[in-house]
Amino acid sequence: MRRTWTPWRLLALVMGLAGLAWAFDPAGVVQQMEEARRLYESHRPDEASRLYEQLIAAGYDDPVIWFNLGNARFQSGKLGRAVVAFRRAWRLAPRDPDIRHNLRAAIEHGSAVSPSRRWYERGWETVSAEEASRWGWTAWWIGWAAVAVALGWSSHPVRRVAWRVALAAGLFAVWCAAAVAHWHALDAECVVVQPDQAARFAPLPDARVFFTLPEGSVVEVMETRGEWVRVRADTREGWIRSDAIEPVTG
Amino acid sequence: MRTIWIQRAWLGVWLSATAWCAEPSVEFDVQPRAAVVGETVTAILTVREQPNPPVPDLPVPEGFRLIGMQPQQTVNIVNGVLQQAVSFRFLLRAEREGRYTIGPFRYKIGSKSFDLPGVQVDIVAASGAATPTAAHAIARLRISKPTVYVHEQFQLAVDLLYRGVELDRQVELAGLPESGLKLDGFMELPARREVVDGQVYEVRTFQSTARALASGEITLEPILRVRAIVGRRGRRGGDPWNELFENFFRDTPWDQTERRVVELRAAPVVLTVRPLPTEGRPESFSGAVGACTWDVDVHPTEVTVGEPITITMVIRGDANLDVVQPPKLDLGPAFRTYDIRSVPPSGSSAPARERVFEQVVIPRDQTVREIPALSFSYFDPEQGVYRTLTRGPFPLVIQPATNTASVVVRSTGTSQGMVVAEGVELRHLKATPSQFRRAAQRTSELGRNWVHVVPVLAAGLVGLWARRRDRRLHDPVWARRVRATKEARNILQQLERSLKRGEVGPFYETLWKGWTEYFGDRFNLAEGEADPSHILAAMGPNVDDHVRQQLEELYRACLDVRFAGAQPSPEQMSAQLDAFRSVVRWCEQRLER
Repeated sequence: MRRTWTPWRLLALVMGLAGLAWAFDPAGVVQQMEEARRLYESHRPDEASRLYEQLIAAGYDDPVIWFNLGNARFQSGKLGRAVVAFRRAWRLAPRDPDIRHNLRAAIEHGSAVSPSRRWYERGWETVSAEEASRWGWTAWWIGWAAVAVALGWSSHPVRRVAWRVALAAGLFAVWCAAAVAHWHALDAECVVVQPDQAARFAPLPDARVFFTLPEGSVVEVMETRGEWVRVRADTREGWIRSDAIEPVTG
Repeated sequence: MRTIWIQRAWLGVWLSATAWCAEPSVEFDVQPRAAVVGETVTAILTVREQPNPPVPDLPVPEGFRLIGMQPQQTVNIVNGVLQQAVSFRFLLRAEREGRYTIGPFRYKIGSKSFDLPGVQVDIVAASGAATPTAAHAIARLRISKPTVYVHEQFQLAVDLLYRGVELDRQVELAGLPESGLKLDGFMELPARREVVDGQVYEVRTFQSTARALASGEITLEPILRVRAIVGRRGRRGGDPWNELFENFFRDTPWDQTERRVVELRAAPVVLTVRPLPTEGRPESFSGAVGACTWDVDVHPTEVTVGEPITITMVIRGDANLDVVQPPKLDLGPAFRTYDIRSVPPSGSSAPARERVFEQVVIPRDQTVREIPALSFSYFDPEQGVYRTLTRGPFPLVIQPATNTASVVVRSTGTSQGMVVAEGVELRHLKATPSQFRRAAQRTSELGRNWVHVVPVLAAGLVGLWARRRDRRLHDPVWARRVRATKEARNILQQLERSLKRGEVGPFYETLWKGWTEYFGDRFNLAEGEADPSHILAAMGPNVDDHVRQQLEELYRACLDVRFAGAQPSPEQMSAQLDAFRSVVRWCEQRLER
């Protein structure tokens, strides 16, 4: 019997090859991670950082890589950049206790400013943007399926249950959408990566200093004007040089 | 019983001891300091912490007559300390108008003597006081300095002077600029009297500490709004009980007093605000304007590398301390410095006259020998110059650290290793996972995919279908009408097929079936009612004549073939098919669905 290469078979073949490539790790990511670990434990954090940063530059956006990079940067005394890495890892895996611990420890070590959160914002930050998106869309589908059942089913008890499921799924989807929006709002977050940056009243080098931002402070960028950015640190706003901060989301 | 006597004895000893230990003090005052002839003023000499003081020999000026003296003793225990005072109240009746000074005089208690200053008292003629004038109440603004520097503190007082009119206690202050001037809360000073244009006025003063925020000229023209009591409803004059009840019911629906709001505008006062000079401004100037002192404390001074040292800086004085920035400390790379934090004042007694700043620094190595000298600058508005206060250097003894810079330890109770780096305990590196996520894998952008519209559409379609189903169940007339259209379409197709084949019998059987089913369902007719008369009646009055004629011809043709054995030609069959199609189309298009 003669086999023909239909589009479906070709697609299956391509996907299978991609899966194999993923499974066998052709880029040597695992080896690179192990090498970075060895360097870190040999007190060569700068070289370990470089390896982790190479992985990130290659397109890997994994909380483990960011977390380990944060540790390496912290060990080499780059407090601000360590906070960037920990913060990035926390955005990807916000419930990870190790990431939360190291992020908090790094911020407290530098007496840095970190944004305060309201109770509902802390609730949103228990799930990552990716999780919130995935769960939210799942709830969206379940909710509408329940609506369809409630509309189309003739049995009243089934319809009642379906309406309740639809309501619960809808509320959960709204909560997830709010969480995603919250995470997107945090895209403007940056970290002060140079020690003791003076936040000034105006974007001028001789403007009066309003307050000082220690290295590792997490700030929100409000406005950019030339080489100056207006940042908000908790409740205060001031102008600092743009090269003194680094965005968390890259 | 014996215990009680012992307690009393101890109390007596304690009271005597506190009285003996305290240093006596004497105060002298005269109230009121403005009066009309015939009124009595009281000169009060108060002796504190002196039991049984001698009666003073008060010099009485010529315009007064001493009409009596009342000694008064008060004993208070404040925070466990006995405070006793004896007041001698001399009642002096004013005999003549003029400005008099009561005192100065010397008061002796044993071997100690106190020189008491004179107090000036204005006495006006009784006839002048009784003369009614148009202005019974006026507002007046006073500022302690007509020219100030930016952020320099000054006193701003608004006086309410009134005579011959009774005013409410509540006073509203308005008209002060809302920007450019920072005012602390207004405080009412003790009431007093004052002679203005030969008239004695009662004076209430509201005072605030102010500060200009920008240079330039500010015109101050405050307005006082106060309610004047113009009468009382049903008052029995002079009754103290009535007065008591009026006070009790004030500002309640049972208040019997009639009031009128009086707006008093003070004469404008121009305040000139000068900018701080830029020349000679020290680098350590952080915004303090006023008279300041500065203390610095460093502790501990003997630490090991990595241990914190707290630098406490206290700024005191009459200055704009609430906006003073902490002094910037540049300790160089030898120290890791934490952010300076402002410490709230420990006691409530010194709210705005003291600012405390703390900074924690950590020596990086044992070569550090001292914290260098620290400077604080402020602007002295009295002299118009910047002043710099320097404290230190502060010697330190730094011991080398006992641990290495980074030590990996295993903590109990968790699989995660701990690493101590720069004195901070961090969780160790995470194990390499079997799979890594790529940035492109993230599904948070899934929201832009239109596929998520599908469930909404599906639910909508299901909803429409369910609605149609329910209507079909609950509305049989509508259901038959909907079914009629489909039946007509099928019948017409069957008729076309029969016509093509030239089958006369089946053609007319199908035509009859179509006739009864279509018109029966279309007009909800009962079985047997599908004749032209019922159909035309169901169609209503606006039926076209050709439709009426076609209906009757079709009905007759069916009867002729079915019951009379007629054999129509194919042309007749075709014409009758067209007639049936025409009638159906007319019904579908022209009649209500």
